[in-house]
Amino acid sequence: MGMQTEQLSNVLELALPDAVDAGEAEALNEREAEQECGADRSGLEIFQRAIVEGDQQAWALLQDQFSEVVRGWIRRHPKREIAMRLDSEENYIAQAFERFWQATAYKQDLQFTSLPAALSYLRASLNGAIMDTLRMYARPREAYLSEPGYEGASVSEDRDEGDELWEALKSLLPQPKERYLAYLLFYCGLKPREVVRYCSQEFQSVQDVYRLRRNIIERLARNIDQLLWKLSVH
Amino acid sequence: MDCQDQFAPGAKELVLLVFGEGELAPEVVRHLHACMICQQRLRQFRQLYLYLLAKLYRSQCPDGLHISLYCADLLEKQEKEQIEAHLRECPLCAEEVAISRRFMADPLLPVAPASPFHDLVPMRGGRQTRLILHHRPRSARWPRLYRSKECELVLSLSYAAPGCCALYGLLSRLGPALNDRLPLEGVQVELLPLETGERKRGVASSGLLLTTTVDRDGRLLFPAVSPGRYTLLLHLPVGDLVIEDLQIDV
Repeated sequence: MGMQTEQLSNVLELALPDAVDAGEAEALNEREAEQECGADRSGLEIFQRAIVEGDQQAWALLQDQFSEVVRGWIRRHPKREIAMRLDSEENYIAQAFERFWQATAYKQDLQFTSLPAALSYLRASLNGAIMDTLRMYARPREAYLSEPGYEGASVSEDRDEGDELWEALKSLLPQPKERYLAYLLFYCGLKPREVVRYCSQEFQSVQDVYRLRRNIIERLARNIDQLLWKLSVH
Repeated sequence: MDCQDQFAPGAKELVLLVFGEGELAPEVVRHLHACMICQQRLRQFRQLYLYLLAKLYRSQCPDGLHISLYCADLLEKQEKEQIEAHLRECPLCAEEVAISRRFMADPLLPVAPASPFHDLVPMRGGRQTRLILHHRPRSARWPRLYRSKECELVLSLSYAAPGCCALYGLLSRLGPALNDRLPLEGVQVELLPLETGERKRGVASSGLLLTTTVDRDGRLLFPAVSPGRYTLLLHLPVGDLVIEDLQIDV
């Protein structure tokens, strides 16, 4: 074992990271760091020119240089399989840049101090495009329908109108548990089983949800005139 | 006005019909087909449900971009607080946040090797996760340092006898936090000769398999190794560590 110990001591001395090709390693690291830094600076400059100066050429260059990066993100997205069934990679890439452009145009004071900061924003834009696409396709079919007799029963993006309706609804549902279920049924479009899955603490059984839902619909139907009057939709 | 007929569907049946979740008794169905009052009531229930859903569905949810900016911590305080309050109520947005956070936890750009050392990358194989080294001729000199997330291995060669050398190494953990989780003493190490000219990676020849164990100080030794190509396997408690295509020349 004496011999073995001596040999291994030599290995230690030879192979510790500080000692292994220390000069070469340092030079290589420096070169890599310099290259990285240079690439970062030039990437950031493209972002700045595109955003701050609104330079169209810079926009084109930005898309050209970072499209593959965005593509790589799409391929690593946790929902890529379903997302790819709903739209193409090219469309997601285009949407990512479009949303990025819109967001930066809207926020005039937005300035990126580093390339990673700009890329984070671009990646958030891509994620937003993917999540909105998934959300659109997950929308219950019924939420698109309107039936005669209710003006404006089509999908509305008007948040104020939704707020008003919700306030009217809440006034008819005094119980907090019923209110929350109404929220989950109409705001989230959840089915009873999904309600139990997502909110098992509040709703222990599907039967419980069925019963409360019946109460809600009954109460709303009983007060439908009052509800419609409040909303002035008839 | 409610229908007084004995077969008139009650609110429970009507709600089930609206949601398409149940079947009614045949006599109730017959009555419903014939009774204008019940049909009107059913229509009212359905319209109410569709109206509420169409008007309210996700109307309060922040859009995908805001969810994403929230996850990337790129929102201002007020917007951030608003989203946090919303997340406490909305399970769908909470789920989207979880997905977005997972996505954004990835590095922005693919990680490129930044050191002259060999990097050990995770790979699925066999019964456990393996850490496997792909051959990179750049650092073919000895001693060599191999590094994974959790440990590093220094390997070196020395002359032992004509046509034969000793391969020895030092295995160490990267960080004291791993001391308990990653005991090194007693780790089995195998050196598998690869067939000459064998192009398929990881296929061992029928040559002699050499084995040793890591000692208390992380040291390992193969005292007599013939020149050739080998696969080195360390059976760590957290998974196998594999160095493929290890070329040993005297």
